[in-house]
Formats: sequence, structure tokens, C-alpha cells
Amino acid sequence: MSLSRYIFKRITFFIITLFITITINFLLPRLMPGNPVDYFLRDPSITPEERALLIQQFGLDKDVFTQYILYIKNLFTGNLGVSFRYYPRPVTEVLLSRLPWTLYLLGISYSLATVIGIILGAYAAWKKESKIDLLTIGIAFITRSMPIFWLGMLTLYIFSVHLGWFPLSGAVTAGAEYSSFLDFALDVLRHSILPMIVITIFLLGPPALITRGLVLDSLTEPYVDTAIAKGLPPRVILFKHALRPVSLPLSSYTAILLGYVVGGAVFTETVFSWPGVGRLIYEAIMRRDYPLIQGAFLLISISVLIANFIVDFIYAYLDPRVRLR
Amino acid sequence: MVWEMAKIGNIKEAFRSRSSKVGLLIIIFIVLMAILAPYIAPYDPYEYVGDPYEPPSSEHLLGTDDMGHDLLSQIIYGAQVSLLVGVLSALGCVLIGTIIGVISGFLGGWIDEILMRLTDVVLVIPYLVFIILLVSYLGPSIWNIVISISILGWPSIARMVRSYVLSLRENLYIEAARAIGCGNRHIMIKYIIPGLVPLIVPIFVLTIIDGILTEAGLSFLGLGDPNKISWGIILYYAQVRGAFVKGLWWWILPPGLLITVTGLGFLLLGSSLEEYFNPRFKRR
Repeated sequence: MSLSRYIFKRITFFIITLFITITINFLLPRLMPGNPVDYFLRDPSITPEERALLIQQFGLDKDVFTQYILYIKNLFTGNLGVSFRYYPRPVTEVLLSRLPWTLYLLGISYSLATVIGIILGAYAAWKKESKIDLLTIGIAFITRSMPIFWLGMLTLYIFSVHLGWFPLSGAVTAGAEYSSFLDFALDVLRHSILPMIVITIFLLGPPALITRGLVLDSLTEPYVDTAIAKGLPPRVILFKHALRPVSLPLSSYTAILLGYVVGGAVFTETVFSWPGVGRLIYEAIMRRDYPLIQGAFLLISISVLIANFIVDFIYAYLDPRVRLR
Repeated sequence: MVWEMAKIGNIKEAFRSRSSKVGLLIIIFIVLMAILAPYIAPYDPYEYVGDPYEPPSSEHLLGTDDMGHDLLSQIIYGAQVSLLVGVLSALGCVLIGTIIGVISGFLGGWIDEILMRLTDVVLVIPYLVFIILLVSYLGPSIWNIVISISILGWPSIARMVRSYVLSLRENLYIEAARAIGCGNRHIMIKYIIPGLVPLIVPIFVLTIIDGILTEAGLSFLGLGDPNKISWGIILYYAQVRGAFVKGLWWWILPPGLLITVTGLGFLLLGSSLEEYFNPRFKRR
């Protein structure tokens, strides 16, 4: 497959998936029993003027086809309706105000989990059936069976309630005034350590096991025997010789992890009252804030899609079979 | 879903055979707990049988919640919902995944192309937010949760089934069946699907974990069936009523522990079955 054909295929897939996601989002309230207008305007606090404006903007008094056109038009101008809970703030504004908190929390946890997972998995494969191998498998097995929110609750109970080492909730101390940015940053850091650890542990399993499996295979290759015969230290053999050839399949696996990360965010942010998009989803569910749930679904799906798209490109760049042909 | 790519495949032989026994024992224990709930639970889990926030005592072994429900009884009854949702949703996922995988792999051509692109699409949309969206519209009930998990959980199964069918299709007995004039439908039902058993049984056992965890997660977010008690629902109330701020560890610890242990049971059994049926994982 040539590079241009590959890129063309990925772009087509991206656009089709995007289109399907948007259509699902449009259709769901309309497929449900009852009046679709209710799902947009059920909140009693919406004023008659606002109601009339929304009905006009989204064409809720017109036929479904017109509504669909208007929906897509509104989407491209960033209009996702008005949140019930944060009325009268628009959904887009509420979502975007929460996004940086989630990106900060997830960005660090995801990177940590990937790096630690790969190192752990590689060592586990190198020392097969040793203590570190059993530890890696043990962590993976337990975190696969454990609800992450429960892990969060336990961590919070032990380290914040019982020992009092960390704050109970939120991302910043309520009502605090900061003398400098550093002050602020330190406060955020103090609040984010526990949720970060919880998400990292939660995400650790898959990259560790996948790396372990891949490295076990590559360790049987002759070039690894050569490296061992040359008397290279295990660290070099492992990370320079055994891990490098599997970095490609590994990179495509870590992309699939992206969807999984979202679950970690929703549950952990809920437990720790972290002011991100995940916690926002919980608040939206509590208030049956349909426009907000839909907006969050769209935002998260599109983010994951874009991330996958980027990984596809990196993959194409890394893989000479795609790049050179 | 992510986990299906992470095969274990090489733990010590002794550990493996022991682990399948441990897994089976755990599952038997939980299943018995669910079936015998009316006989072994000390109280009616829906009745106010004590004072609020009672710590563990001889009367209430795991204490009571904010309404005076007996937590031990709730946990025993909770096994019913968690297991039911886990098993039914796993059945749903396996059923849809197998049908799509078999049709796709056996027929090939444009049907295969369309079904596999559909699979890719469902796979790439983040599972949890999708299911939250579905259940919040359908309404929180056990059936809606089962249906939603089934609708969204099949793609990775379909992919595995498809690639397995591709290799099964090359067998001589399929060719022989064709030679004596068997139709596609007949071959799929009579020869392909029975051949899939070694693949599907472990997948089914492992998918139960996802069902149990998804039910618990949805319940925790306030999308659980409000008329039923499940382990997730108990944790939801513990969170909402601030159990851990009040230091009520007996409210938080047991339900989560049971989810984890049950999940581990299915995981140990499932991965042993996987190796038993597919020895190629063993070799690595």
C-alpha cells in the first residue's frame, strides 16, 4: 500500500466515523419515546425567550431533515445548545472550561502508565517467571478485575481521610489566594497526586502485558542471541535490541488504549471531585442534563478520533513498509 | 476490550492449573451466594432493620447504611444483579460478535468489508461515554444496561471470530461439505460455528468481567437500576452519602472487594480455558 493511499484510507475512515458519531448524537433523542424537544428544553429554568430561540436555532418545530441540517450547521459554529445545570451557559463553553483540567490529569497519567508499563513488561519478559514477572501479571490481573472508582475511594479514604496527607477533593484549595503562579501550581500538584496515581495504576496493565508478550517473542530472535553473546548488559539488550523491533505494534496498541483512558477519567474525576470533563459527565447524569451529556460524548469521541488519526500518521511515518512504498 | 490483546500465556504450569481451580472455586462461591441469598441473608435488604450508620456488630456483621439497611444482606443480594448483568451481557456480546464475525469471515467480499468497517467504527468510539449516553436515554434498568453493553461490546469479539473463521474455512472438511453441495448457511451453522467453541468459551467467560464492571460503573455514576441492589449501587450510595468522609470503611470495602474477587475468578478461569483450548498461547 502506498503512503498516499494509506493516508487517503485513514482520512476517509476518520470522516465517516466522525459523521456516524454526529448522526448517532443527533438521532438518539429523536428515536426515544416522547418529544425530542423535551430532551433539549426539559429544564424548567429555561425562559420562554430562550426556549423560542433554541427551537428556532435547532429547527425543533420543523421536519427531521431540516433539523439534521441545522444540527450540523450549529455544530460547525460550536453551538451545542444550552446546559440545564449551568443554565444559561452554552454547552460548548462549559465543556471547554473543564477540558484543560482533564488534559492535565490524563496527559501525565497516560504518559506515566505507558512508560512504566513498557519498562515493567520488558523486564517481566526478560526475567520470565521471576518475582517481577509475577508482580506484573498480578497487577494486571487485579486492575483488570477492580472497579477504578473503588480504588479511588480506598485511596482517598486511606491517604486523605485517615492519614490526612492529601486534600479531600477538588483541584485547588477552596477560597485560596495565591501570591504567585508557583503557589498555585504547587496547590494543584498536591491535589492531583492521588488521582494521578490511581489512573496510572489503572492504565498500567495493558501496556505492561502487551509489551511483555511482544518482547517474549522478540527475545527468541537471533539478533538478541548475538547481543547476549557480545556480552552487552541486559538493559542494552532489552531496550536497544529486543524492544525496538516491537515499537511499531506497541504504538498501535497504545492508540487503542486511548478509548480506555476515558473511563479512567470519568470515574477518578468523580471520586476526587476533580473539575474536569469526567466529573462534568457525572454532574450531567445527576441532573439529566441531556445537552451536556451529548456535548461531552461528542467532544470525547472527536478527541479520541483525532488522537487515533495522529497515531495512524506517526505509524505510517515510523513504518518503512508504509512510508517507502 | 483493550485487554483482549494482552494475552498472558506463560505462567508456571503449576500456577496455571492451580489458578483455574481457584477461579472456579470463587465463581461457585459467588453463584451459590446469589442463588441462596433469600436463605443466607440475615435481613431483608430493602427493609430498615437497624439504626443509621451502625458499625459492624454481632447483629449487623457489616454494619448498616444511612437508612439502616443491613449491609451484609445487601451485599449477598447484590451478587444476583451483578452476576445476572454480567452473564446476560456477555451472552449478548458473544452472540452479536459471533454472528457478525462468522458472516464476515465466511462470506468475505463486500459484506466483509462493510461489517469490518462498522466494527472499526464502534471500536473507536469511546465505550464508556457511548454507553452512558445510551443508558441515560433508554433509562436506567437492568435490561437497558444489558442491551446497551451488548450493542457496544461485540466488535473485538467479531474481529477475533472473523480471523478464526478465516483459518477454519481452509479446512478440508469444509471443502468436502461444499463438494457434496452444502449451501453457505448450512456450512456456517453445521461446521463453522461448532468449530468456534474453543475460541468462544474463554471469550464468554472473560466478557462477563466487562459486564460486571460496566454495571458497577454505570450504577456508581447514578445510572444503575434504582429498584435493584447491586454492588455498584451500594458503592454509589456510599459515595453520595459521603461514607468515606465519615470514615465508614465497612460500607466501602466489601462491595468493591467482591467485585474484584468475582472478576478475578472469571479472569483466572477464562485465561486457563484460553490456554487449554488454544495451546499456541502456552508456547510463548
